[in-house]
Amino acid sequence: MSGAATPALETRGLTAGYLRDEPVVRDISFSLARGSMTALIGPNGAGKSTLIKAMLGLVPFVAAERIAFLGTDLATARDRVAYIPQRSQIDWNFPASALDIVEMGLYPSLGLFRRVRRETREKAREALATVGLADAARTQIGELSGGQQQRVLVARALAQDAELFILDEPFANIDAFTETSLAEVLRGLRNRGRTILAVHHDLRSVRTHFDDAILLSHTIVAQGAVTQVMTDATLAQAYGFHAEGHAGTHA
Amino acid sequence: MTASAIGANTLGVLAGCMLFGALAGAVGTFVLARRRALVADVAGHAALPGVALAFLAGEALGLGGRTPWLLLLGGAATALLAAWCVPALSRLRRIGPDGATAVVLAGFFGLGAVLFSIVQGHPAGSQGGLRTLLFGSAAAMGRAEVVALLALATATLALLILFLRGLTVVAFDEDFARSAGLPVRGLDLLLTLLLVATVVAGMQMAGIVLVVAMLITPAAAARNLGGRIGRVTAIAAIVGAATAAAGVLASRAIAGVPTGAAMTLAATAAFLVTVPYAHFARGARA
Amino acid sequence: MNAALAVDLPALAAALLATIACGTLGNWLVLRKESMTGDAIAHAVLPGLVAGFLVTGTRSVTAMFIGAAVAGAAAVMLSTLLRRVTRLEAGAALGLVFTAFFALGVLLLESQGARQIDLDPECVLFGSLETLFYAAPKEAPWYTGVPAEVWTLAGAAALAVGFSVVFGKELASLAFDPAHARLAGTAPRLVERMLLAVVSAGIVASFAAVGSVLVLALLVCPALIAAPHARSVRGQILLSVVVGGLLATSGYLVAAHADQILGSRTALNSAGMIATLLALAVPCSHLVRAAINRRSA
Repeated sequence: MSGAATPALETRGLTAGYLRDEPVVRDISFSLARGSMTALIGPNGAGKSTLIKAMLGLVPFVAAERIAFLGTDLATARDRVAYIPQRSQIDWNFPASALDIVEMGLYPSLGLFRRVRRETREKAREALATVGLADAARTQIGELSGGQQQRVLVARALAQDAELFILDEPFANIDAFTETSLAEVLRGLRNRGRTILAVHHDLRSVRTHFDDAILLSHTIVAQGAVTQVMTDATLAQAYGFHAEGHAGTHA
Repeated sequence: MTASAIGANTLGVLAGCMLFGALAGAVGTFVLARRRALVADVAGHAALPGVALAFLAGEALGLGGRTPWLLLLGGAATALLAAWCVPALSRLRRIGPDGATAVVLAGFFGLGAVLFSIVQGHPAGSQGGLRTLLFGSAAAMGRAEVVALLALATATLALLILFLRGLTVVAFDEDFARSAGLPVRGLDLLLTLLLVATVVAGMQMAGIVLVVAMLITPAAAARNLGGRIGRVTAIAAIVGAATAAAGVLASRAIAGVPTGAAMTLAATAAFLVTVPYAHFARGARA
Repeated sequence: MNAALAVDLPALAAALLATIACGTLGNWLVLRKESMTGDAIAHAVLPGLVAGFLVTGTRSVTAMFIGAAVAGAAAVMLSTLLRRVTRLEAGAALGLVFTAFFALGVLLLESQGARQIDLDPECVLFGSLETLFYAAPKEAPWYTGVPAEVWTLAGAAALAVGFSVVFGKELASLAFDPAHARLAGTAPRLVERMLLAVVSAGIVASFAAVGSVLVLALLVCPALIAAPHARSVRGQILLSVVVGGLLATSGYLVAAHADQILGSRTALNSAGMIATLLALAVPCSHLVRAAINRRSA
């Protein structure tokens, strides 16, 4: 297996959408170094979620020269890639406890026929403790707060012991406390060499949470270190003139 | 065949079925646009308990079990009740629209099955009963049935034409309709009324189980051909009328084939013809 | 054996086994929000069933089973294909395909099969639980008198339970978060296809005995009755089968003995009675839950 030299995620010339003749994102090329922490930003409808779903093969029409996960294709790397969907895409009335959901991250390692054993459950408990939910293991997921639900999904990815974490809007609609603790968990992962890519919508907090950024508006407007990406010019190009005030307060 | 050979009643049946087909195609266009296809399925099945109750009431009142207007009224009442139950039930936690649709359909049709068995056991029910209502039978329609169908279908079509513009705006751009101050909820209620009236008008001919096909399939065929909403509605009405007539004629030609099954298959054939068009027309644009 | 028992026991056994088969599998459909797929399959199996009869010319259980399962699975796949090609919404595509299949089945039944097959369109809808009875054999062992439908249903119930136990964790993971399971899960596509096949098989087995109305009711209602009270998927399945079984038994007994209980002239359609009770129990179960929550709050 190749070491840190190969990028954690690399894509070249990706075009994708839900209808064959109407691509949402066009000609996307970028690569993420191992151990980096990147925000995918851009205005509403810019295709942020579509882009990450397209790389993961969850969008009907995808064309690309190259999409590589951890130096190989998704089929080979799938158990080392964790996808954390938007919280709103999940039916939280599902009959399950927080621990049940985190255990689902361990199913791939069990294969089709092995059952959940005590050591599996212990691993799941550890992952829950890492996100600060040790006490909520037996709580129904429907009774958790929004922030707690988000942390359960992150714990599921932790249990999976992935190397690349792809998150869709992890900081959407959660309280300030959860935002801080979630950011801490993600930074901890990065410090242990994991790679993080997160769709993010709040321009004000990009700097506090992330090192790098990709600014998207159907195509890539800018990419690199957060400070380079978030300039008046690039934001104006991506958001139109409304965002100038936004950028001004931070530039 | 000449008009005198097939007789005035057959002409009436043919006129009735074409009017119903046109109505179902036109209303179906809006039903598909508002994503109500399965509500139409529920409405069809849910007419059964109402029809059976109406039969028993007709017998008890001495009007006769198969009094057309009473059957239509009964069927419409339970179909409307079911259409109201679906959104009410889907608001309950852990049910959702999909589960609610299935529960309401199963419950109303189950109750219909029970009442149907009472009708079949009734002395008056054992002769004709409501058997022909399940899969439809144009042959079993008498003069009174044809008149009732023509009256209801004409009234429904008139209502549709009267509110055509509002229904169009809501069906194809709900946000604009809201911002323009149109009563979206009221228009949706009107669409439910039109849907139920269409289902009930067609149930003698197409049968309560398959009547939904006449709301879905001709409209889906018209959508495949594309174009603006007015054009789609008109094509759906023409396809509906033509396939309904084909169904009635086919079920007369082949003994024992229920009209509803023949109509459904005719409409499906029309739909299949349009599928390559939808595919290639879009391919050419891409 | 007592005459009343010879009539009631096989019918009750059929109703209970159908509850286990459909009730168990229905939980997966409900959790996946695919309840109406069950309705579509219940209608779409008819032409396959009739074709099975016509091709072999006998009431061969195998032929009817294969024909119906193929038709059920084909209808679901066709509706998926239609959505891609024509941009119809899911419900409309499903409705279009299953009405066409069902109409074809009715056509085959009425034009070809009526004389060869003792299956009439009314039975297809409302079932024929009332006609199942135990004919005590004179010399052969006792079990040879049990109607074939009951054996088929027992097989379907065993298949449904076995499948849900063996693939429970994959099925739960797919139902909770399909995107995650499709990425990380073990053979997610295979498991989804197997679910479709097993649901089709369960529906086919139940269809001839209990009819399409009751099949739909048994697929969705027990799961939705259990849903507000369940804290785990396994708990929901267990509760749904137990409550479904109780309601099916009482529904059958009320319908079959309506002449004594309700003073009606004839026995009532038992499949319809069970379906009505099951559907009524869904909102009742939610009201009970709401009341419990209010008291504990």
